[in-house]
Amino acid sequence: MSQRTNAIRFLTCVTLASLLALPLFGAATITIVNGNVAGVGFNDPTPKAPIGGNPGTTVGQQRLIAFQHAANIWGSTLDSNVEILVFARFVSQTCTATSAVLGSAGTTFIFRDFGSVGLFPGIEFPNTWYHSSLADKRAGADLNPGGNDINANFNSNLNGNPACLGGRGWYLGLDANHGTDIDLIAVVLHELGHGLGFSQFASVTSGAQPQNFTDVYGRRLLDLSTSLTWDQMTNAQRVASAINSRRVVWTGGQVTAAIPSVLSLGTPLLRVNSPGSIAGNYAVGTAAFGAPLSSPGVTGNVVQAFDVDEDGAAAVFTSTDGCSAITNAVAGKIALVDRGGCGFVVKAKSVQDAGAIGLVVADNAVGAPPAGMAGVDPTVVIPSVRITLPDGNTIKAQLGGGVNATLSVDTSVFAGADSAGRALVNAPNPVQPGSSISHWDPIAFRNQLMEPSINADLTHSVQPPEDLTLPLFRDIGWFPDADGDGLADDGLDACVGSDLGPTVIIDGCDTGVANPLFDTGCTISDLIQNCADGASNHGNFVSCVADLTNALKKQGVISGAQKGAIQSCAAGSSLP
Amino acid sequence: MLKSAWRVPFLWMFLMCVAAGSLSAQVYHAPETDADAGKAGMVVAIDAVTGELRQPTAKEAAALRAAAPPAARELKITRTSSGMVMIELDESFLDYYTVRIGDDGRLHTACVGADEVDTILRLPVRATPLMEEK
Repeated sequence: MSQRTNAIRFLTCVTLASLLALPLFGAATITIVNGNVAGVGFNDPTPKAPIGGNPGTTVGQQRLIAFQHAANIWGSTLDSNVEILVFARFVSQTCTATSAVLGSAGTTFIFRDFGSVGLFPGIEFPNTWYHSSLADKRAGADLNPGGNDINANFNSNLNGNPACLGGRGWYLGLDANHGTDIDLIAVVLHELGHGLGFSQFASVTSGAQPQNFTDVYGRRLLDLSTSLTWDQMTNAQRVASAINSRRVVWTGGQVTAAIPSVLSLGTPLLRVNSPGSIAGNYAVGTAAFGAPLSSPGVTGNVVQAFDVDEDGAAAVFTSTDGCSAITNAVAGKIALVDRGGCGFVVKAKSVQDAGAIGLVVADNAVGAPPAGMAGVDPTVVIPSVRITLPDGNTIKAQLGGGVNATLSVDTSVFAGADSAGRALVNAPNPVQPGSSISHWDPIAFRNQLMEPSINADLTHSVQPPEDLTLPLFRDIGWFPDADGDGLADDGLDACVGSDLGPTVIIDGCDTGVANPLFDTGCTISDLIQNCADGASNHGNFVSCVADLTNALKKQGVISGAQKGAIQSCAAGSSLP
Repeated sequence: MLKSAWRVPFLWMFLMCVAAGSLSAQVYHAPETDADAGKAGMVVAIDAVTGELRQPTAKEAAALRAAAPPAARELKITRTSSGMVMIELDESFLDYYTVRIGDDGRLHTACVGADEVDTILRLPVRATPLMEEK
């Protein structure tokens, strides 16, 4: 335990009276409102043996227990004094032998410009939509009394029926031991995540926003090409941003701070070293053949490789597709060819035979992020990557002046983050409504709950070191931190509205003593203010400050001279 | 839990505030959404195989929507005199989780909007879906 923590524990005792007014730390109650009628869904009476820690003895009971278990995971993680109501049903939805709808969910209402009660903070931003449960939390009251906050529907057909997914069904155990079945808890966690705040409301196909107002999620979305956040964009800019693959990031500080503890280092990249005008990292698709990308990788000048246009009309083949013997000098260089005409592995073999040390394939169609390249040829030993059509055009435009690049796994970039350490948001091209922007980029590793697909290795954790969802919820305001000391006002912060000034100043008297922030979210100035708030007269105040500074000196937080400086200013003040 | 200790008085206070102002309800013409489906709880379909009532698929809902008059797509908006605005979203704003069995026999999931559901369910899934031959 740190020295500061010991000190603050003691100080907390001596200032207990003033601390009693602090907000309490709790959790959130998420209640499942059973929307099924008797005999179906959550009320299905079909007997079922308990499984994986789920003690239910009917299908309906197990569904409800598993659903509530997922809700409780969120409930124990979030904090709200307002009950969150999830209207949930198991209903018949599409299911064939090979595909199915698993379920759906979302917030039932959105709110903007709401007030608050007591010390609850209300809105962080005006003219900004909030998900229902988040709005209630910040308002400190149910903004739509009696209304549900989240609507959720799950498919009741996944029950072992061979006509539905070949008999694969929901795994209703609580232990994630789902085998080849579908882990209901993971899916519910994901869907509730959307309902609680992991989604935005602007159309990714038109850019239109409800009533032309942004939402609290969109305010954290930054497009690296325009340097605009989604709330600053026109509709057209949002449409363009939604397909700006690997160039839309989450700017929230909580997620960024959590990334090193959650994601793994190492991202395959094409890094342009020069010219400076296009220098930077470019997303790549990797190859199933040739040398895998490594660190520090292969560096060289990039040159367009030319070959014979086999059909002479650029109908199927072109003179830049690398489908036949290369006719210009690429030895010792990284060869750039266009996609099309032949397999990727043929292109790699062509440029390798001409002496190239690496291959870059520029896509011939719009689409992002760049897909991987399949193919088998054990004689190919050079590394190959694929880049998007726009990125290819960017590089081609500079080839005349010389382009130097590196093909590597960049071990300084987290998998799922940009080079500045911000989380990448899913922005595939073509756009995928419902998936685009409202998920993490699937390049993230370790795998994340809020990627567009649920990966088999997911745990049921929603917070670091496994997951970034809770930090995102912190970023959108689930844990308000008005004084910016890094501790939630309604959670861990023992001093809401801290005085974070660099030195301790008492009634205008600058003591010159540093004003550190303790682990509890309090500074020395805060504790002195507590003395003032709790003192009935000046003598009591001076006495309280004396006790405080003696304790601080005993703990080694301040020196004897600093203690004297504080006590001097306190004695000379007119406080309380 | 805070709820029992805090919620009741705060809720009462809040309701008093709301009561002091006036509530007005009007309809809001939804912007083009990513996923338009039928309104929540308003539309059911008859399953062609089982004959049972069920939720319409996204495709069925889209067809119903197309056949419905424009007013049917309006979302309810509520304003209070305090300035708060509330919109009730319909099921077109839900995120749908889908699953397909790939040619490798594994399950491949995808979270999409309502309009995308039928499209994605029809797409074949390759064992290495992001790899292309040429």
